[in-house]
Amino acid sequence: MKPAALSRLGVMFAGLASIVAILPNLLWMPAWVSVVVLLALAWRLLLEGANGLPKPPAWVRMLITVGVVVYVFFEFRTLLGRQAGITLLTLMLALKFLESSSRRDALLVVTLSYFVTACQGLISQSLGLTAYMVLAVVVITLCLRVLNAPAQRSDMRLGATANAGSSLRRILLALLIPLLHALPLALIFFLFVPRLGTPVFGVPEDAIEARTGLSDEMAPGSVSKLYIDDSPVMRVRFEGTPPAQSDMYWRGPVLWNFDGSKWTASFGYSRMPAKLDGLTRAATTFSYEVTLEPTDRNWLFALDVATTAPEGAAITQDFQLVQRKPVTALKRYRQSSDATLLSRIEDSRASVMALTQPADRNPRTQELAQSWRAENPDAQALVDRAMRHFREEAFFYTLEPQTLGGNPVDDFLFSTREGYCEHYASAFTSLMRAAGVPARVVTGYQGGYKNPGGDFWVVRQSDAHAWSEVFISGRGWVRVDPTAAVSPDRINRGTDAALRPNRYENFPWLRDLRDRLDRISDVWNRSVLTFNDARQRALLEPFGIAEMDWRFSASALTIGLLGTALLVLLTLWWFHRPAPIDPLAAELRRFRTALKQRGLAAGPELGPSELIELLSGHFQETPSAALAFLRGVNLARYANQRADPSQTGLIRRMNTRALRQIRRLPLKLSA
Amino acid sequence: MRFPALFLGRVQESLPVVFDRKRIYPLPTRFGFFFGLVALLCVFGGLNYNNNVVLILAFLVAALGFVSLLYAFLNLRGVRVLSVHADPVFAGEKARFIAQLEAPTARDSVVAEWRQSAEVGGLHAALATPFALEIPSLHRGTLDLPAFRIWTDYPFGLFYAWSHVRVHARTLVYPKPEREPPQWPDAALESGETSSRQQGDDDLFGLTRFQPGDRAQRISWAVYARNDALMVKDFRRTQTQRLRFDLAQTLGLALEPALARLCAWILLADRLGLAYSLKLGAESVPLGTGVAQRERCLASLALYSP
Repeated sequence: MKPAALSRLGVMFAGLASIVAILPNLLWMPAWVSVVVLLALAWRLLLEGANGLPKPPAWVRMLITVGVVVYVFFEFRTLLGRQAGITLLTLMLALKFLESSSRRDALLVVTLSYFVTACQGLISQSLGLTAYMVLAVVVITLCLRVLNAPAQRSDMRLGATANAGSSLRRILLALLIPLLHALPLALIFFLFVPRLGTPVFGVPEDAIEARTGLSDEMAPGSVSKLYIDDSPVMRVRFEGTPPAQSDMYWRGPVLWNFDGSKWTASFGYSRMPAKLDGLTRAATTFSYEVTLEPTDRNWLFALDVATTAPEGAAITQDFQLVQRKPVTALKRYRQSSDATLLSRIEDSRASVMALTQPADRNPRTQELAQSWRAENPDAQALVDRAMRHFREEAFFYTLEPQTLGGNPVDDFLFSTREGYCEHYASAFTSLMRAAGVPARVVTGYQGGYKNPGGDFWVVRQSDAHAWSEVFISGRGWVRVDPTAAVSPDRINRGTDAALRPNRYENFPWLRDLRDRLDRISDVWNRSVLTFNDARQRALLEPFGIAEMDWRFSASALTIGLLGTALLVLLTLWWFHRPAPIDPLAAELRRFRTALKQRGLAAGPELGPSELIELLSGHFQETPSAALAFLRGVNLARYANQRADPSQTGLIRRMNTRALRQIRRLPLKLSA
Repeated sequence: MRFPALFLGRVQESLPVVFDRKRIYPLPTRFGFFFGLVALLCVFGGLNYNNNVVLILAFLVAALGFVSLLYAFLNLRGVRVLSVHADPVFAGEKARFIAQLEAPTARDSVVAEWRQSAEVGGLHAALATPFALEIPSLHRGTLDLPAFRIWTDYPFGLFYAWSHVRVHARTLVYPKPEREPPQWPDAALESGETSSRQQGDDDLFGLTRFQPGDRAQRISWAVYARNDALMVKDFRRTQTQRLRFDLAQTLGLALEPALARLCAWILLADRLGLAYSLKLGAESVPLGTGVAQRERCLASLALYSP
């Protein structure tokens, strides 16, 4: 058959499918690509208008394609990355729509629309976008249904009843019922199609969704937007009593090296695994489960100090929890921590490394530290002296401090005296090192927010924090948080309490809404996004099946396919079930069957009156009960305006009597 | 019905043909293959990166494909071919075999197809619906309905369920009438009666080709509108309107052109409302008039073999 031309309706629905698929990508694609994509869509839709534009010639389309591909390459420096790939796909979809002139083209556009929609899962896995994507699949399927309606088959003759199913109600039914039938099967696929433990192909390098989180360096004074970002970093569920909020220090990168203004991680030391064997468990162990948003970094976060490491991760000598591969997808792990472990491991080698800093930077700081040391060389006394300095001098806690100059610690300690955790941690650690006390900066998150309606804590980017650890011989590493000396509210009640105490004062519903959305996201994250091969294997644990193997998967899938077939059959049967027969007709049918058994020709076309006639000549005696029944049917059918249930019962009893008589009465021999 | 026999088209079925599950074959369409490939790609991508959102979408689309297979199958199941009938045609025309299809419940997008010619339509519940199968006729004689297909790709065009139908249905193919036949010879006129051959205004005798000089009032515009041929009404004073056609009157012509000429004469005579008889060798059709006579004579022409 020659390709069917595309009707105006077909163009509109193919356009609808592409728009629905492309829409979310417009939010992040390079602006110029978005413009080209929208122009292509608009052009094709306008072609259908009354005085349409001419179709752009092939060489123009080719030029646009090549131009955009080159542009995409220079924008992303690759054509194979996730973003570049999806951008190209989107472009392909728009250009295919632009040049579509046959029904086959439109079907290709619809298929590409499905594909582009599915690919958005690589960009974001949020519940909102997923809901949009499912809705998009519904709309694209509607377009497919319209393109497949007889009216769009311009390659065929339309029969007399070609438009039988084209009412809106029929189209929607023909769309929604198959979708509803597909849903349970899709769920079974999701649960039982065997998952891969490790990818067959490499994981793409760029995790698009990862937000700017903690980095492995810290330069107080540089602009940091982290502290005003409310997006969640992780959600935590504690087993048993959680620690006090002021004790929730979520340990991240440990920074050893200081060049006078910037703290950076140590490449050797932070990579060596800790020796935790032989340590006895303390009573202060916390067990909890973390659901970590993708960070595109290797760190996992745990309360100070992790005693166990999830699969694929290890605890380093400075107690960082590091995973071999970056966290590119939502990560859910069980974790336990021991608050006392930090001080129970004594690592004297580290003390040398934790003393160095450039002698020529921040001279006044070094001078101050030396003077304190002269007063009292005891390490604990020096820590107390520094904390007293922060507490008693006029230091301020603010997220918008003045910028610092070439000797940032000097500037901060002696002139600006305002800043946030990074400033205080940096200055304190620098003071300690200058005073000869080994010290290091630890970054991570501090605190969390207990969702009032849920059983979990949320840690947000705005909870990012930096603190210090000093090495005191005989006691090991001791955590010191200079920020607590300046702003106790920050540590005890969180960032909001310290900086924005009135944030939700006028909009309490806004906080409720945020909590509610957070709870939904939490359910979504834990039940869907973190479902993987391990969770799949443990799926049937509650039913006594410890490990689900492929044989079980295969049976479940077969049952799913058969069950769907049964479901479809039942639905169609239900929709097309014959109308219920009325009780009188049912009684008559029984009666006729009995007559037929006696050899009388009581066809379905005979009504009660004809049956009375039929009976008259056949029996040796008058079948009085049968005649009474038939007259009763006639009366019930025609004498009454309204059906009466008690009457139906009477007729049934009369019929029973009549049937007994019919079976018993001898027939006339002549009959 | 054994599967291979049905496939080879050797066995003719008796009406009504009911499509039950044994004779319906659901297969993916070309678009369905492509669609499945894309769904499979999404499934593999989702599994590889354990991206559950991609997997949700891919599985939804895959499940939709499977459901689509069931729907196509069930859309055809229970459909019955009640009868197939076609009116006779002239050679070269397309014979329209009308298949009456019926199903106990309403159906969408059912297609009756033979080779490249297809007709699509829906079925109302328990209501016979005609579907036309256009089969080109090449030669005079009879035309048997070849095996044809009833299929459906409802609802999404991903799968089509089809079944071959091979029922006995036959129609006559009349000879193709000669385009511009000459006037029938005098021998065709009933014996003893002659035509004056003088043009008069009394009775419409027939149509002749327009020649310069003919009066414009006599041009038959109705014929012109139908056939694009300029014909002039030929009024003659005749005593008779009875004609006797005979194959022998077409001297010098081979059989097929002769039959074509007779066909054209019969059509003309019928149009003029004349009574005529037909003699083809040993066969003959007695004098008669009207549609029945025309059909009878044309049937004789269609089936004649010397």
